[in-house]
Amino acid sequence: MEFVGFLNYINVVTDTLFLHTLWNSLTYVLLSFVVGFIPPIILAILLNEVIHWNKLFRISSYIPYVSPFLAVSIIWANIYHPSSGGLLNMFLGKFGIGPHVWLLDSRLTILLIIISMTWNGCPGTAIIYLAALKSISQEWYESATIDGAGVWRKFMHITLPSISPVLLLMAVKQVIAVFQVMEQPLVMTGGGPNNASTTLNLTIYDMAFKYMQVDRSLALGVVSFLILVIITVGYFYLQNRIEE
Amino acid sequence: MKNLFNGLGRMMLIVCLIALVFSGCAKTGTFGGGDGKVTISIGNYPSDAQPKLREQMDKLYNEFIAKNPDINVEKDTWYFDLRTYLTKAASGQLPTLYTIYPTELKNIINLGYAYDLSETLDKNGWADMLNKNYEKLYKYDNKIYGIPKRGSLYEMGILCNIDMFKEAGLVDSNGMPIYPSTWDELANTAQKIKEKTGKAGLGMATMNNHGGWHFMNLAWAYGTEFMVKENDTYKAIFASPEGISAMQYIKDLKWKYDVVQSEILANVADCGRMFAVGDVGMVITQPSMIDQFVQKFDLDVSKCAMFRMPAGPKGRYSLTSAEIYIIREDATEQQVDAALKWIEHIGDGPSLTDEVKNALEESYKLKNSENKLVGVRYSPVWNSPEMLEFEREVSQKYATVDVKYFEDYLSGKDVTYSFEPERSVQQLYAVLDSVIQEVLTNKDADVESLMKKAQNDLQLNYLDKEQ
Repeated sequence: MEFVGFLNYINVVTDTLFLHTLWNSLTYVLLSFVVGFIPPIILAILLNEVIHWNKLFRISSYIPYVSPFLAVSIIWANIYHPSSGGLLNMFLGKFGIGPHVWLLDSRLTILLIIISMTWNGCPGTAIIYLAALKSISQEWYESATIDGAGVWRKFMHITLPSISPVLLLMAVKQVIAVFQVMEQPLVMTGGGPNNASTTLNLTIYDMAFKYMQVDRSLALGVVSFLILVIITVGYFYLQNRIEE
Repeated sequence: MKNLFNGLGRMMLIVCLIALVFSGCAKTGTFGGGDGKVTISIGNYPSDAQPKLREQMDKLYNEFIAKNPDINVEKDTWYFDLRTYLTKAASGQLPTLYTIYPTELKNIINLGYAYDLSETLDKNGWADMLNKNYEKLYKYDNKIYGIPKRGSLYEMGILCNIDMFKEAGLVDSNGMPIYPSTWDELANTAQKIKEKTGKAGLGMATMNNHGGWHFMNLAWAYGTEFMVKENDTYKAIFASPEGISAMQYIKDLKWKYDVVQSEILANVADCGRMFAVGDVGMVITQPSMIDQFVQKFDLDVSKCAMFRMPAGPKGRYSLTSAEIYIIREDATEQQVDAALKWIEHIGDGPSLTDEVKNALEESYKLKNSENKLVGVRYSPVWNSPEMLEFEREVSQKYATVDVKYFEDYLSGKDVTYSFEPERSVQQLYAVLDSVIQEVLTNKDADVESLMKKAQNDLQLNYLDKEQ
């Protein structure tokens, strides 16, 4: 082994694709908030409100979460298949729409991957929200009802404040998890088309396992970690400021 | 937050961060070690998933053990795979003998995992018998590090579906497919297949670096050079007018001729699958890959024909490569000798004893029983006319295809066989993959600027940093 100082770090941050890859990773995070943050909350509320067959609904809604991401990615790749035999194209074809190339459209690739990730991960998050919802005293809702509060006001003044610590925790968890996304683009697009869906972690993987550049791979791993620390600390800082 | 950065917590965090940062400050080097006994482990050993092959190899194994009681052979079913290689190597778990792709040889040597076989092969006379036409595959810095595996030397060609050619009216009066002789003719042939069958005329690999790998053949035919050596440094030069024309041709296949598959993001295995089920009429491939298509996708080889790489403005070019045996760097001399004995015993060495003849015949017989490609000769690893003649006889005896459908490919007429560039090959393929994906998915893609960007990326990110 040879000590090369910060050469590997210089090499990875001066890589002509580094900024593009970093931007992609951040886009995944941003889109995951837009697409994926609300559905688990809605699902948790729905599950909480269901009276009949609630065990059946809970178990069946949890199935996507226990499905291996590999299988889920392959299923969604088939849903998005660009031929007229792709499931989504077949469905839209019934209405005279398409076919569309879906994952091959570089403007949509990340968004479509995020939708598949949301479907996969939503129930896991929802179950945690559901636990938080269960801990809210029913008396608060009854009092609010007597005081004339509607569904929306009860949600804004009872439900949301009660689950906000969990929301914060899950948001941080989501940032960390989505920023590190690798498997889904690897399986669904290989990072393409033309690097449209590649991420920092996929690049780390490629460097180590495609190009045998373990040195650069490790350096990029550290860079990725530091970026994540900055984002997370920044998020906590903002949260504290908002709470104050 | 405040607690996190107080006292002990702060110190621990700093220590962890420093350790983490220094983990990226090392240049990858040698790991692992050997046990010093005359015990060797053999990679690529067939697993239980291939019972017939396993049975045949077990028979060879038992014969070898009986013949060489001083050698202990451990079976390792691991096949070379970039995803697992470094882990195996770093943990000292590489088999003594295994095969790799020549594109990785330089990396493996630099990582310190390959044994210099020059002296050993000089002593036992194998060095003189190796087919010198392929020495770029196994030599580096004038030293021999590998031995090509028998039957793995390949030249690329175009595999075509005879039934689809018939359906498209692309057969002559004898029922033979009419092969396109130029890349332009190939586009027209693919167009006819699409018109008559509704299926894609050509299956194009575009990902996992396979797109770039296949593109080489076309680019050379257009006169493209990929890199030049200038004073010990390498310069990427493929964004030349020739390279741009070759990439424009790829773009035209989609947007002018519309003959490529709709599943644009596809690797070689995807193309093999599409070809095996009759979704595409032609694919770029090589004979050794066809067996994988049979094994994985039940390809019917009797319905296949193969022809030479078509000509471009500068002629016909085909990439040539192989699987090569290498031995782990820390092997002892006794282990190296034992590994070479094993290679010889299974028929991959230069000698042609009765035992080797028997082993070779058994391997052809087995391939025949599995409907793999038999009857098409491979380029010889060894300069041994006797072995060549014996293999030709056995191959004909167990043929699964009518050789006339492969004659055009086998003739190799006017084809220039070329080797992959010396530096950053996988990275070159990766940047070309990106361009291919873009031109096949974006009708408005600017080929020239994409090629220049790819060239710049390769130069700045890899070639300049590897000098």
